Amino acid sequence: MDWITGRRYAWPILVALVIFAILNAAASPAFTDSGNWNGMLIGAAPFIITAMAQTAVVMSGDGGVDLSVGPLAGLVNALIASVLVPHGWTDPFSIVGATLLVGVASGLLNGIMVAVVRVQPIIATLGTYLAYQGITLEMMPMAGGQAPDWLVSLANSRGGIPGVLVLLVALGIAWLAFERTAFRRNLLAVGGDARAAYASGVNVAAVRIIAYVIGGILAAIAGLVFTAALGSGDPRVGVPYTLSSIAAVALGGVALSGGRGGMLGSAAAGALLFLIQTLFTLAQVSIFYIQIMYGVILFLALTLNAAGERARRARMGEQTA
Amino acid sequence: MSLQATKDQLGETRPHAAPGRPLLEAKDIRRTFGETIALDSCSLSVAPGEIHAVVGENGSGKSTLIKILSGIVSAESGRLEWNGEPFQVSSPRAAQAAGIATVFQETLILPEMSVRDNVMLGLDGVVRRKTNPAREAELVRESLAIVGMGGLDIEKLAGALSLASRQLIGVARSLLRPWRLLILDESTSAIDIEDRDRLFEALRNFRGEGRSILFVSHRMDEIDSLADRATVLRSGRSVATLERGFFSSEMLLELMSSRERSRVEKGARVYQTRGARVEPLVTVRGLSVRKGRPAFDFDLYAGEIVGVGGLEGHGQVAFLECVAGSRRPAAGAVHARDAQIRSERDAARSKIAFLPRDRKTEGILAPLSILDNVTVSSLNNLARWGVLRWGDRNQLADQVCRDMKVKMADLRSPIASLSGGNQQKALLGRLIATKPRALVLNDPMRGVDLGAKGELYEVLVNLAASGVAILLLSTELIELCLLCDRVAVFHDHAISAVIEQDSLDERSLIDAMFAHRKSSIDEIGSP
Amino acid sequence: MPLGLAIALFFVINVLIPGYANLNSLLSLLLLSSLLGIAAVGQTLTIVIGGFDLSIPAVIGLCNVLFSLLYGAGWSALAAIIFILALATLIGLANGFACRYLQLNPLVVTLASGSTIFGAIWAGTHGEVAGSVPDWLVTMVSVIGKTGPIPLPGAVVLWVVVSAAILFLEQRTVLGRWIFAAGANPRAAELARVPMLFVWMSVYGLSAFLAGVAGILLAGFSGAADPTVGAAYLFTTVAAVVVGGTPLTGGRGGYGRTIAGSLVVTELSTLLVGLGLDQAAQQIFLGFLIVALVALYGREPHVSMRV
Repeated sequence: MDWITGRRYAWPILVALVIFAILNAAASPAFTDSGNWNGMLIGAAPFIITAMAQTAVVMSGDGGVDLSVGPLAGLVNALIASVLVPHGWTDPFSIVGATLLVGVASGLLNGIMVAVVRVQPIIATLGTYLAYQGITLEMMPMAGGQAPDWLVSLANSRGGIPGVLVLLVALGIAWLAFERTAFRRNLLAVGGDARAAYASGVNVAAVRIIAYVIGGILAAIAGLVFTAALGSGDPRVGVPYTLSSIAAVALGGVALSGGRGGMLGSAAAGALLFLIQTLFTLAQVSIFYIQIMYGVILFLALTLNAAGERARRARMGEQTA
Repeated sequence: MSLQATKDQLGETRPHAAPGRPLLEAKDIRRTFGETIALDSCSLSVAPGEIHAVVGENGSGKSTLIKILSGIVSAESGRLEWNGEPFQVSSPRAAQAAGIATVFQETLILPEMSVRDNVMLGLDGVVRRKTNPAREAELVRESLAIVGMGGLDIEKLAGALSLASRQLIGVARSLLRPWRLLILDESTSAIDIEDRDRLFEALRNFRGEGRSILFVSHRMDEIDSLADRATVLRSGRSVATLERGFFSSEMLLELMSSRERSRVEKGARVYQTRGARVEPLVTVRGLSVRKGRPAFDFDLYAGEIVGVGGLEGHGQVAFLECVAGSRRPAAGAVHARDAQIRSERDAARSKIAFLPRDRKTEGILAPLSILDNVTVSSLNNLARWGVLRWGDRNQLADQVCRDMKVKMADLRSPIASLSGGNQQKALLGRLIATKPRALVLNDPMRGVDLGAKGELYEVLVNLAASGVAILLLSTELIELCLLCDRVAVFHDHAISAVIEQDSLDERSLIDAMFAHRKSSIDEIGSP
Repeated sequence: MPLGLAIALFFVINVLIPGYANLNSLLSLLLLSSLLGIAAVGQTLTIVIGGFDLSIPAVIGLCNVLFSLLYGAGWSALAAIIFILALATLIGLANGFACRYLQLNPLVVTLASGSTIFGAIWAGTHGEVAGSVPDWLVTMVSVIGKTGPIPLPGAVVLWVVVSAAILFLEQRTVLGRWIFAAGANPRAAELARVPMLFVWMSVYGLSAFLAGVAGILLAGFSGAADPTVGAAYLFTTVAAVVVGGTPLTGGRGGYGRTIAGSLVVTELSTLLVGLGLDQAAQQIFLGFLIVALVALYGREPHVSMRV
């Protein structure tokens, strides 16, 4: 239990998550039907994973943000459906390998632009956002293509355990293991006060690049996941995940200026966003209103986030005058 | 021995060589930043097993020298030798790997991280930990024990601790490195007397082990107590290196400043005691700057310069901020005549102007011109229906810059092109352009070179003479003695003493700063 | 420098696309630049003050759709314009308020408000847009249009007027100097008694107002309403500001540079279209361009400089 008490920033969002799960169950009895869980999980997974991708980048501080998260996921989807599969590279190694390669490459590109060339993160990732979207449209102007069978089957349960759940758990374990290294401390320091970290001997550039690489890998995996869910390619599915990932980070108790928070909060917030969307669909609200809902939620999330920051800063500031 | 005799003995300035090979040797280091020459020809040598002081006024190049030795900034020319071998420091990490650990003037502690993480910061690789958690905790506690914080809960968030504790944690962090040279850059400004003495004891022990310490300080009592040798910097050059026994406070001061100091004193000597105090401009009643601390009353009268002093972090800045409306006091109220000051807007309306401490982050609008910077607070008075009266604006800026004696090329040059001292003058000019009734100044001479300082003293004195009330916070004791009518000294977030003109001297200030507790230094005598 | 670049580019295009140098092309260039230029005022000022305005595309779309709808429903053009611009300004004021008073990140705030507005458009119109626009509006944005005795389309003349007004605002008014101060160093400006909330709300209000103007003009351009008509303006306005040379750090540059920047960006788009690149490819190109330019003259200082 210690790992929950050590993550106090995530409590509000966990509570909200439980509330919305209950609301969803109340709105539709089918929600709790175990047969439905697989569909739920695979719907929620991209939200959760893109939220995690954005978290790593935001935590690295100094305006860290990755606008290219959504388009990168879309790029992976287009790559699989319209390039790899038609050319016969349908085996797991190629597909997963290509996904990870794209993720790492994107992370390195963004990371080097931010940490070495020192372009502001929003501009650097705006550039990659546009570039990836453009490339996606070039590869696949229209929805179509076909995802490989083994991938689609992963979206289904095997022996009662949804494939997606295994993935999420695996990611969770990987992150926990990674957290036990010095990286967590370094990331928090670089995000909190980069010059203090630098003067203490931390390799600030390396830490930031790794944060963006993590973001890239996770965003690419999210693309892989919704390719499995869709079963085909669609150039427009990826882009909205940028906004949702940022909303999830803000909701999840992660400081937008860096240096505070962690994956648990944003992952839960990602799930929460999915649940809210499901609730709206169940209540048969028009999809157009969902856009408005996103905006309002993001706004509320920001306000709470900022209010929390201010309170903390006021308390800390007390000590130094 | 007489001051003059010692100076004769020294003759030309040359680094006084210690026996054996030096641990660190810096020869003719030069570094410029754009137009400013921070270091011109600076030489320094530190022997193994030595405590070496670096002394100098603001603008003498001390902080640049430290940054070069710590790997933050590189030298443009000159030689650095470590243990006889030529030596390049490319980053703080490289400096630490070589065996140089630095405690910077700024307390670089992360409030959102635990004490343990703060102390360990930078020791690990990017991903790999230096050692397992259990061993880590041991090391951290050992290091904290040296600075007297052995009993601290290392999982506590550093943000909950006082500034003094954070400074000590910063020292603990550096101690954890495998260092042979420890650099302390004015890192004891907030530390109270017992902790400071304990730290000094630890430093002497390290010296006994053969390690060396380089410390920058302007506190003469510290230098007297600790240093084996002292190197004096002036205007970017190393002027002299003196052995213990060959230096005294007066000597060091003399070397630091030569003829400029007399100009400073002249500037301040124009000052005379004001006439009888009539009605206070600002009244403070029942004010407490922190919950639980005793409340105090205070009055600020027109035409007087009141000093505010104390160890860093003892509530004096909070007090200033309460008067300027930037902070709500924990108890009590500030009034200017009949208006209560509860916000910055209230202060502005009551014509109380505030000069923040850090001009780089809180003062100058760097990309903008001198004209913009000086007039920014008075724009409403220079416009009609929101449109600026161009001539009036230029005239005001011109007048102010002339009064402040700002050395500049043109009003339209960017303010960043001015030297530190001139920037400060411009900022003070910005306040004066608003025709204030009271000035609240947070360490205005910080980072100002001696020449500009003298001129600023004159300006302040003239302002007081014209009826402006001035509340001046300073970390330099001499300044408080020279300029002020009386000084309120803070200790532990309350006024420890208010010292009037007739009993105002460095000794009484130090006593009040430490709340009259005696330092072990005074009792034991120099080691 | 950017102005020189704009002129140079014109000749480059001339060379690369035969038959380009005629009056029609020049007018077309000016017209497109005017639309971009008007939309980019807000982006310029918000960048100067240290933020961004990512809701410009949404406001453009909103005003575009609303104008066709209202005019088509029988409102007088004047009434419609006043109502729409007032609404846009209110949105801008809300953005500015959220950024300053609530201390929220401007990037995310405007992203959120933009998204909300788009949602509102879709919800309100249910994906179907209809309406009409008055003829004089169409003339304003047509290459052959004239404004009284001046042989230029109304939109271009409007751009000239707006530019003059903004430049005057920047250099000669109290608000203008406050904007630069607020962007140069927010904390110092606040301490120097600059009314930060007023300044932020004014800047964002103005930004949305002019985005609204652009949206209305665009209604005349395409003849029908299109909520996504503003989408391209997200990165073209940022590109115009960056290319023009206004640093993203704030407190410097200004609209004068964006004027040149708008011309250059429009010329580049024309060039790319002329060379056969489609919308997607143009986007890629512009993305690289923005990054390259910022990498050239907008880099952040190394962390060692802050110690």
